[in-house]
Amino acid sequence: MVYESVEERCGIFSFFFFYRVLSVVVGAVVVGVAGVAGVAGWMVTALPCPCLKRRIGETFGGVKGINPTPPKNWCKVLYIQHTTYSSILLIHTSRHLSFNMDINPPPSTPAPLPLEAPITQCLTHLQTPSDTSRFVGLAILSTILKNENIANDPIILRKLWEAMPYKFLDRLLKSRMSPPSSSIRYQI
Amino acid sequence: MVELAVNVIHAFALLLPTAADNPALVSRTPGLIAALHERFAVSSAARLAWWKKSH
Repeated sequence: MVYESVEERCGIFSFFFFYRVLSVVVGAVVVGVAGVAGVAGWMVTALPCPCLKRRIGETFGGVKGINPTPPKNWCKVLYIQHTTYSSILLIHTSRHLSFNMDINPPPSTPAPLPLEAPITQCLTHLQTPSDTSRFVGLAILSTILKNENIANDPIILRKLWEAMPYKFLDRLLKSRMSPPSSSIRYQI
Repeated sequence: MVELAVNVIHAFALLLPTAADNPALVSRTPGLIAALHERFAVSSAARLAWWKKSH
């Protein structure tokens, strides 16, 4: 009798056949796990980390629902979004890693003060020719000057004072009180 | 509005290191005095009206 294969010689439940089936099953499991890991890696870019969320928001102009209705070339768009998400995630992770491992040197420019935005806003309002904007700028200025960090910084003080609209300030000083309304007059 | 202008000038007078030598700040003094005088007149008139009504 001539046997053409091992199975034929040893039967269906032989030792070799079992390992052949086992290798196929293991291969399928590995491919499945890799696929799930790939999908999870794509989905992990949408994790609600504040820094990452902000980067994604800056990239796409909105954190929630980028495009509610899928476009015609949705496959291409999905691919572009996937690659962009991946690059953002890579940058994000590298930054966090470099921060934690202290690989990169600290940036040369100091971090901006949290009060820089109100100062800029105030200067912008003060230098605008509109009286309403100047009034808003003076209101912001009166609030800013109460801060100790600014009160101890002569450079910022000088800059704010040089941006002061003197003529508008004189007009405010010369402004009269509005006549009291009827209710106030009744109280007097 | 007058309160806002006075508040800002007062803050700068306290905070600027050379406030006494600052001509832009010193030249605001007549305006401040005029505003004070006017406010005093208004408050005096209000007090006088209240006094007349209560007596």
